[in-house]
Amino acid sequence: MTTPDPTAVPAPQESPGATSLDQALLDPTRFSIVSLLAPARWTEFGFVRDALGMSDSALSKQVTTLGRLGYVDVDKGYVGKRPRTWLWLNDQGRAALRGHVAALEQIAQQAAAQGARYPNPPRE
Amino acid sequence: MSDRSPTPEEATRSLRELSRWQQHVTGTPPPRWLYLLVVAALPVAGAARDLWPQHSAEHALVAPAVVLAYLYLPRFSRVGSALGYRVMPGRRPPRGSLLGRRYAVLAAALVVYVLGEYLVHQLRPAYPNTIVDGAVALVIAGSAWWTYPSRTAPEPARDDA
Repeated sequence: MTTPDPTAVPAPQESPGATSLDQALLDPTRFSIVSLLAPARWTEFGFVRDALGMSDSALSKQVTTLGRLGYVDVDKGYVGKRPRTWLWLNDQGRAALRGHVAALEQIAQQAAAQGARYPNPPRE
Repeated sequence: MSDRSPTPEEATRSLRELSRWQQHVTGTPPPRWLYLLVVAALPVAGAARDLWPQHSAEHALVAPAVVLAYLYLPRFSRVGSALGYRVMPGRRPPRGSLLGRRYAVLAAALVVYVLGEYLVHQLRPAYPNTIVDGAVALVIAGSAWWTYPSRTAPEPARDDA
């Protein structure tokens, strides 16, 4: 029996954009990061860190993972003399998120439909 | 990481989480000083048109130029950060209530502008452009609290939610 490597990068979906769960986005932290990046163009690293209450190193690891999957682009530069890092959820990442969200909606809707078939019995 | 499907409860929680984070980003207000600068530019441009009417055509271009710069410059990461943005506005406009609020503010500003132009044409006060542009600026400035109500990070979804 082999122990799974916790730092291993999960394989991306073969057809991002399809209605399919993305194993990488099943991780709640990664899902929160892409949720934050999705509505924006570029987002400062510090904004994501502060919003999620993460440490620099923890966020950096997750961003590296998302970068290896090809979901997030990272740009480093300076504003004045201060170094800044910006994150961008690229087209591949947006397609993966769309497919993942569609799959989540499908799961939630199926459960709701099943629940509707079994109404609560009347209370006595 | 295990290859498993989330339960319906987990799926619902994730969708709720997605919605909350997206609202957090779209509800992040622009830098206050920049907002005030843009709002202040309107009555200043109006006053310039009143004081130097011979250059009114050039002065009329100031306000639209400032508004365009306000809308487009923050889209670039370095320029946006230099202006004080931490999140550069998205490629697509925000959906739902925030977009509706922005349209409502624009509509209110337009109504005030048209009404103001009509009134100054009837009453002919001194500094008509300053008055009208100032009134429009007041509408935009006063609506800031209503357009961007979400200023704090949402609570993350709890496991027992």
